[in-house]
Amino acid sequence: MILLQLILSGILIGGVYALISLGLTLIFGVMRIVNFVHGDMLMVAMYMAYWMFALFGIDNYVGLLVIVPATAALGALIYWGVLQFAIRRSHEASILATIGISIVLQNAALIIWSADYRSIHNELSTLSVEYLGIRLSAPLLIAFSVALVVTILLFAFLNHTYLGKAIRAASMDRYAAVLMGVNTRKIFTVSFAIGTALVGIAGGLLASVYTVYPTVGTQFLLVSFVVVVLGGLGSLRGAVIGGLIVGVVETASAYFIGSSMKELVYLLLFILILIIKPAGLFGQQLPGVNR
Amino acid sequence: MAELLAVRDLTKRFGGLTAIAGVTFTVNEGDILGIIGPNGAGKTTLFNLITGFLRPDRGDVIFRNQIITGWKAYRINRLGMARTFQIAQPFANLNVRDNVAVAAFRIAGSLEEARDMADEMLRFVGLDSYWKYETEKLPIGMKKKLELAKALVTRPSLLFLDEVMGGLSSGEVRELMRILWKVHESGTTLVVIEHVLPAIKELCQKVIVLHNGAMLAQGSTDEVLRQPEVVEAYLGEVKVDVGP
Amino acid sequence: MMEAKREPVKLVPITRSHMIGCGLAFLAVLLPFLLQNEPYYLDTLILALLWASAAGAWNLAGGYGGLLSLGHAAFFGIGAYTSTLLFVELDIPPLMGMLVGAFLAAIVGLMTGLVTLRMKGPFFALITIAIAEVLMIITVNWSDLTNGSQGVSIPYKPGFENIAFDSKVPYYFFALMICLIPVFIAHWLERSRYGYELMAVRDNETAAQALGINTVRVKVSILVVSSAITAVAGAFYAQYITIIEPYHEFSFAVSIQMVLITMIGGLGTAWGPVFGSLIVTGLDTFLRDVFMGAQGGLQALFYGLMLVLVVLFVPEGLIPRLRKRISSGKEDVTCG
Repeated sequence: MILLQLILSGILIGGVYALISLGLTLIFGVMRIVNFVHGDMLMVAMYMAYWMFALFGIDNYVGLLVIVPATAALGALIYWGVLQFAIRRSHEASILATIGISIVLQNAALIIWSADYRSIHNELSTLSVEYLGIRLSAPLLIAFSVALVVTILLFAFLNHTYLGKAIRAASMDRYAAVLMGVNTRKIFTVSFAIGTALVGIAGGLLASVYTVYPTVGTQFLLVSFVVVVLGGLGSLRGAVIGGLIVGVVETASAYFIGSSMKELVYLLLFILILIIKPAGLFGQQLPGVNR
Repeated sequence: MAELLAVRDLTKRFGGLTAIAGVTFTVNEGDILGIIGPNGAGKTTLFNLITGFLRPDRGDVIFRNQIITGWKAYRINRLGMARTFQIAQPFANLNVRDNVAVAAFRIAGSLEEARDMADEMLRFVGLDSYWKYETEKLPIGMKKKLELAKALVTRPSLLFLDEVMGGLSSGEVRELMRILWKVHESGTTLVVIEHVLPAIKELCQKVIVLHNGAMLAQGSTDEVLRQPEVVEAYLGEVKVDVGP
Repeated sequence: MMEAKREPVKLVPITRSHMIGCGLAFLAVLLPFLLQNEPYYLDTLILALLWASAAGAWNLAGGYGGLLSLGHAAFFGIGAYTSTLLFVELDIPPLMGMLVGAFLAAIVGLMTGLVTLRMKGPFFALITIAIAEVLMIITVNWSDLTNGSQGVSIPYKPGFENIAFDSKVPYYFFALMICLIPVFIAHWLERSRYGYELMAVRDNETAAQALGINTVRVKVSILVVSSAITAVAGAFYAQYITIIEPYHEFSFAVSIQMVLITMIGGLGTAWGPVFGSLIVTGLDTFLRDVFMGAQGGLQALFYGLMLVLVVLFVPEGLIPRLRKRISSGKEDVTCG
């Protein structure tokens, strides 16, 4: 019974991890950027949700209406203002640039909002649903459901709209996409904005689950790195499956060996994947002549 | 003439695509072998398989009676096989001379000696006055010469050239052909991928035609180039005669 | 009697840079004595040299080797903790403990390299982060051995072999010597076959393979050297600061510090890390005075901003940028 409880809870949080990781893997797949700002976008979204609730009493789910466009815009700004130039230099430059922006955001949050922990307390946040002896947190359940819907919408977008297909084309072969008339600069900006919006949604959802503080994004960034490598860099399917797997593994580890060590488990998992199958579950071996 | 290289039934698949299908040929010492074929025929893939940058799914590569199938690229190079790349791959943070010096270090005992060897090689290919330059700024003709210089300075017995004349003006092509003749005269065996047919006709006594990963024809240059299948496969691919 | 014909002594022309170099060296030796009564500035200088050592070590792998390690704190922490724990638990003098730490770090570097340096992509950068993080968690949780998050303080037992002195001046010279190690290695890299092969691998691994260079071995070996020296810096840090704790020694911030310093000073140059460290550490001290009492975080924010600006505008670092200005300018090749 405990096992079922752990698995279900794990899937719930795993769904949110999947959402976060979809954003990360989309950005990597299209632009080959390892986006260190991703976790901090979650933090920004969480703070937005918190302040909208604390100042105006707006529910964080309603707040998503503001959070999504805001984070998308922020993402587009970061790409347009900094990253597009960093990419031109080198992959290393884009990694370091995102790290720099991450440091700026975390410390800006620290300065503006201090290190105090903040959390949203409404009727929903402590509610849990019980069924057949399994107890699941209500906000987490909602988060999972929304994440599921968003994921389905995302796949629909990528497979059935022109813009979506252009994005997929750019991630498969950038040069071919250019030759076929795809405006890669626009695609890159849009992809980065979408990727950021996805993690923004996750942030809005998690605001009623976790407490928020300036460096809260770091943990989630680490988790999503593990998910993305497990699933395969650039693979959307991989991000979903990987997210669910990591969610379950993490929840189970927290139960069996304590929450301070659970991070160790997925870090070791991460290292193990890199040793055994770095391409991950669904990734392709990156082009290059190393065998 | 001693047999230098033997390629037997070489096959490579990428997922569902068969890039190279059962290619077999030999290269004797002193040959200049041309490999031609339309774009996408698998010429560069063949090079990569032979020189160790790709591992074949089936077949063997034998160099001087030693089976080198599946060997890593750097080991194969140390045996005396060198190659150039279709898209020139210079070392961006080293100047022209040091690019060649790195290669020369394989034989040279010190930096000074490596640089001397590099200088000599640069003179040979006609780049000596540009020894100080950064490679990014070089026009394509010089980049190709640099590629060649790097490959040559290790004194290989077998040299693979991947479209070394691609993108060059007719004057540059002629100059490069002169250089390649001299290289051949000094005892190096050459295998050349080229689209510039006049160069092939002039340089190579033997030619292999690749089409969709398989060998379409093989034999002396004149014979092969007259075969109808070859002409057909190449229709639209033939570069206009550049002239003597 | 016939004297053997002697070759005339070659007079090496003394260039301006030789004289500047000698002058700086002289100053470097004199400085601690001049600052003896200003412990604050001497302290800043020592820390600058310490970070120059760590950054210099990183630079060997990152700058000369092109290996973007974002987890070098792992080696730093290994050095700090190994030397400290051996000292505190087994009374082994840190001078020896430092070497043990270097050895352990080298092993970790070796294993990391063998596993990840075969692959293309950002895997190496990611795995270095993971390793530093793993070591942090292990150190925090294995409190029986490491005293967990409370850290370990180093008892004061003065002596050369304990790298413990009652005046700051010997620390300065110690730091100076450690900081010169990567500088010497870097100079050697710029003149040796191994160094050239390393730089070739950095610039274009495929082309390097085509020239007979065993690229994996080259990369792994520089990583091993780099990690060992980083550990030495970490051990010295422990002895100087006399208290270590996992959340700092294995932190991402420490890793980034090494990268930022090197980038500012000059990636892949011998003196870049030293230059960069003097700037960054000096700036650090200066800012601490300016922002005195102000929000913690303003300083770090500034670093983040600096990182972005350096990456965008001066990615090769200040030393190469200055060199270009001083020399006759980039040679251009005009077509035709």
